[in-house]
Parts: sequence; structure tokens; C-alpha cells
Amino acid sequence: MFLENFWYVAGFPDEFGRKLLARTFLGQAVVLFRASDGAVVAFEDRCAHRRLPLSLGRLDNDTIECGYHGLVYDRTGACIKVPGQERIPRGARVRSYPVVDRHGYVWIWMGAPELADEGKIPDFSRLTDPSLGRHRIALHILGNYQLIVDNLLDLSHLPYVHATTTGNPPVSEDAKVANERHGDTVQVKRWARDVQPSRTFAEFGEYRENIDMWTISQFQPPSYIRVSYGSVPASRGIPEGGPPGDAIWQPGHWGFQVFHGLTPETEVTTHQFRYILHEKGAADAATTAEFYRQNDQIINEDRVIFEAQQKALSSDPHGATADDLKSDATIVADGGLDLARAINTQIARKSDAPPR
Amino acid sequence: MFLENNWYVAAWSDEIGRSLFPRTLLDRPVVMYRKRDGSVVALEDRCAHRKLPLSLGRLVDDGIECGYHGLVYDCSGQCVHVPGQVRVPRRARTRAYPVVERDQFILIWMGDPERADPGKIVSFPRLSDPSWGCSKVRLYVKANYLLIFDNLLDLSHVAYVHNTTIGNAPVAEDATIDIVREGNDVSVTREMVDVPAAPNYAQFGPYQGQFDRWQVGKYIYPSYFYINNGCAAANSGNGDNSRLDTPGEWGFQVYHGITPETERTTHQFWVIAHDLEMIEEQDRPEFYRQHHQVIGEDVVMYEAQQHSLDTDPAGATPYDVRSRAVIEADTGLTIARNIIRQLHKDIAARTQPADPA
Repeated sequence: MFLENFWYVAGFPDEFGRKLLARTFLGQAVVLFRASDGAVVAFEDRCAHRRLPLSLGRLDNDTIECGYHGLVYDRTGACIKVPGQERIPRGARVRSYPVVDRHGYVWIWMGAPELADEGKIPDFSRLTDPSLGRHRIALHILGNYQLIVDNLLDLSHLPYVHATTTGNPPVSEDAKVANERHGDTVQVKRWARDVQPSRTFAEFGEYRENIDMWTISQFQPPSYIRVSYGSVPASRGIPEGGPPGDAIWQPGHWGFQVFHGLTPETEVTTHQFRYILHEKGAADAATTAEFYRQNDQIINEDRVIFEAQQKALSSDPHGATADDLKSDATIVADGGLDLARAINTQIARKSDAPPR
Repeated sequence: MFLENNWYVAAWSDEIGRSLFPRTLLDRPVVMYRKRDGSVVALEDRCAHRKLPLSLGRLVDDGIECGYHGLVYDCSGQCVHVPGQVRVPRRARTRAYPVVERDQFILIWMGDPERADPGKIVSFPRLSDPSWGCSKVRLYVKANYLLIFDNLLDLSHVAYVHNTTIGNAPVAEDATIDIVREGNDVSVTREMVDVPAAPNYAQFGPYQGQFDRWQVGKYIYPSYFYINNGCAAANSGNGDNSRLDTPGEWGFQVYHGITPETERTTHQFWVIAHDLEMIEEQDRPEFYRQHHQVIGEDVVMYEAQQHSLDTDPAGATPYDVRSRAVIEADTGLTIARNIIRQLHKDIAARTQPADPA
């Protein structure tokens, strides 16, 4: 199930240059390049003639020459030349996709072009805030994107999957959780008071005593996710009811934020474009490098989980899928991800509804 | 769908010897070997007993002993021995396919054996002519055979896919094209007059500047191609078409035997052949290397197209590419595809159960 009428992350801006890049989004093969005016151009990666991927052709100024029979397409996807004949066949064009370069990502619209409204791009402006430090990674995950959304909305997995970095038992055993839905936004707040810091928090927050810590995961459909991590010494702790509502950008004494661009490639594979943001602070280069290394370790630990789940689902004897896990053990910690899945399912149903 | 009642290339002659050689042809597993007298045998590669491929067994005289329970088959596919029992079950046999060896090819008939007429075999006598040299390769292509036919029936692609060897822009831009259908065969002639020589021609042939060049590509039903390539001095044709069937001053020929393995994979038997006098002995390794590069470049195209079709959102397939840009250069391949489509329809009509009403 793909939700087509949304902006999806196609990649990081510096991935696109004066060469042809092939990438599949939502099951559709796309060829992308940066035109001479700096705009990123994207169209269907399939020549209208004999279906060769255009990415095997040649970029010439702002046109693509197909690598098989030399048909030339302009940046709108219209065929403008057929070697050896004057007439251009009617209908000789490939679909072009709207693209916007914004907030440290290149966004692509795979759905109905007339619905492509730039105003619907989520506000990830924090990603280009020059006062913050940042680190990024692109991953190609052999798993459906919903499995990744699930993961980010239920951080009770930290003590098990990330036990050597951000996870320790209080995160799942002692934390309180509040799931809230506002319109199509889901927020999962998880906090624990007067607990031992996990390794990452102790190391970079320089804690020697217990802390109050929290995580806030925010979801907007179809797969826009921001996760904020914060902490303070337990001696100047947070209220029993959890960090204040606007704490998503307040790391307290120490914390960081993670942004995810999750774009389905196929039903069983996903492009994950991830940024970490943090206040620059006084940390030296070696300390910052170690912090980034731990984060890359974390996302690769998650990758192992996603891919193992997908493999288990693909061979499930009862026909479970990433869209319908047929879980025999729904637990309290699923509350947030269940809300997010319900929103996506509802959107999919609406778009499947027959026109009236 | 495959056109079974025809001769297909199963192997090169020199691939088959006194050992069991498995290969899937038209979706059916076949095991081949030579008898002690040198003649070639082709049997269904499946034991009648528990369906183990017989190619996992052992050649015993002129027959095969199955590698699982030791049933022995003779070269007609008849089971002649079952270990531990005297009686051989009545239906214990595996299918034998007619085979003929000719011009470096082993040819096989996968259809109705009664219709296997060696008179219908396509001959390529140049491939066994001692005054000609050749270089050959079997390519295992992960694509449907029709994508290979398309490629060979429209050589305008030479300008783009092979532009470091046999191609340059005039092949696509300046060729005069003549297309003739004879029965189920289609020939496409491309003649280029007073054009610059492509790199491979300039390097090995007599013309480094302008010249006349021709490619005559013949699709020979059901699954063969013959391409005659020649050249001559610029503007030397004087309207005489008889040179197009010759190498002119310099040229070479290319042959293809194209045998579907499955709907998605194909065996492509490719040979380049030339009069020994056309290419000096010391030049031949590099000349062959360049042409092997050419056919390797084509495989990249076929496989990329197959992948593109497999993921096509509009449901296009190799049998129905749903082109949104039918161009003049497609004329030859369109004729060949129509011939094949009609034959597929005829077969489908014959195999339809009769209407009970």
C-alpha cells in the first residue's frame, strides 16, 4: 500500500548533479539530474519507445539522449528528436515528476501532479539551521517502510536493540508513555524520572548521577518522523506528568533530535534518509565523531531488525504482511504506532474510494 | 508462448561430448550427450521414476543410468533396466528429441516428433567453410527472446549502443532503409552513402575517411538472424543494389541462433564470420574482441528492458511493449512481431477446446 499524494524524500541535495541518477520510488522507476539552472529534474526512467531505462542514456545540456536508439527528451519529458526521421510521434513523452529542493532534502511528488502543492512539504526547516550541528546517513533497507515507522514510534525497543548506546532497562521498564493524536499528527512522549543514564547519555551528557530523560516521537503521514531526546539531572527533574508540551525542541541539559525521510522503494524495500541535529556546545571533534559513530551503529542495529521482520513476514504461513502483521500479542507500547497506522489506513481507504 | 514445431539451436557442436550436458530449452529440461559413434542424443532431463534430472546420473555405453535409483535408459529414452527387479514398468520412458548436427550447431526439434523434417533446417554453410574464419560465443541473456529480435531488426541502435566500435551517428541519421517480407522471413537493408567510417571499419578495413556502408539484416523464421556487413569507396554504388549481398571491398557476417530458455531467459548463439582474406591473422584477436564487446553491450540493453518491463506500472510485457513512441525504424521489427503474434494466435486457436454449443 503506497500513499501517492504526498511529498517524499528523493535524496540529499548533493546527490544530484550533472549525471543521470536512477532511483525507484513507490514502485516507479525514476531518473533524476540537476539541470543547468540548478533545479532537480525527475522523470519516468523508461523510454517511451522500447522501455529502456533512460538512466542508461546520456545527459546533454538539459536533455537526455536514450542509450538505445537516440531519442532525445527535454527536461519536461517531451521527446524532441527521433534520429533519422522528421516527425515526432504524438504521445512520445515520459512522465515528469514535480521536485522541490527544501530543508536539506530533495522532495518528489509521485502522485497526481495537479495535487502537488509545495505547501504540503513538512516543516523540516530546523535541518538548515546553521547554529546546529548535523550528521546524516542514507540507507537502503530491505523492509517495508511501515516497519520503520513502527520502530520510531515505540522506543521501548532501545534497551534491547541498542543496549550498548541509548538503551538501558528503565527506558522500557520504568518509563511513562503518553500517546496523543492531533489531527493527523501523532506524538508519543516517553519519560522516566530518577533513573540511571544509558551509556550514550552518560558519556555525552557527562552525567555521574541519576537523570530524568525523555523521548518525543512525532509522526505525520505518510512517514515524516522527528524524534527528540532530552535529559536533565534528576536533582532538577521534570514534573511527574512528563516534560512540557513544547519540549520537542528542548533537549534539557543534554539531548539531540533525529529526522527521518522514509520513502518506499517497493513494497519490501525503503530508502531511509536520516539526519541527527544537536546543539554545537563545547564538545571537541573527537567526541562529536564518537557521538555520530554511535548513531550510525544505532540505525544499523535497527536495520537488522527491519530486514529480519520483513523476511519473517514474506514467508509467514498465515499471510501476515507489513500492512497487516496479524500480531498475536498487541501490547500497551503499540499505542502510538497503532494510531499512526490507523491514519495511513484511513488515507489509503479514502483515495481508493470510488469517485462520486 | 513458444513456436515448438521448428528446429532450434540447442548447443554448439563442440559443447557436446561423452558426458551428460543439461540445458533448458523452450521451458523444458534436456540432457544431451554423444554416443560412441559420435552422434548426438537429446532426452528429457527427468527420470520417469522420481523425476530426478538424468543429467545427475552417469553415461553408460550409449545410455544413461539415473543417479538416484539406477534405472537405465537407452538412447531412445526407453528404460531398459530397473535394479532389483526383472520387469521394466510399461510406461518407464523419457522423451527423446530429434537432433541434427550442422554448421557448428546442434539443432533440436522440441515439438511434435513426426513433423521433424531436416529439410526445414536453416543452413549457414559459411560456418563450415575452411576459407572463412569465425569467433563465437553463447550468451545467457536474462530477457525474453523478442527483445533480442527487436534489437537485430533495427540496427539504428548501433549508433548509440556501439559508438566506440561499429557505430557512429550516420547509421541512425543517414541510412536509406528497405524492408522486404518473404513468407515468414523479414530482411532490413540499411545503406549509407558517403558517410564517415565508424571506428571498427576504419581500424580494420580499407577506408579511414568517407565510404559507402551497408548492413543487410535478415530475420529467418523462427529464430535465426544473418547480418551481412559490407563497404566500398564513397559514392561507388551507381544505383546498383547487387553489392548489398556481398562484403563489397571489405566486410563480415554475423549469425545468431536465438533459443528461448524460459519466457524471461534466452540462449543467444552468436558467431562473427569473415573471409580469411578480409582480416589479417595478427589483427583477428582485436577484431573479435571488439565484436564480443558489441554483443555484450546489447545484452545490457535486453536485460535492462526486461527489468523495466517487469516493473512497468502500465503492465507492458516483452510480448506487448505498449510503446508510446512508434518510430519509422520500428517497421522491420513490427512486421516480424506481427508474424509471430499471428502464429501464436493460430496455435492458441488450435489448442482451444471445441465450443460445446
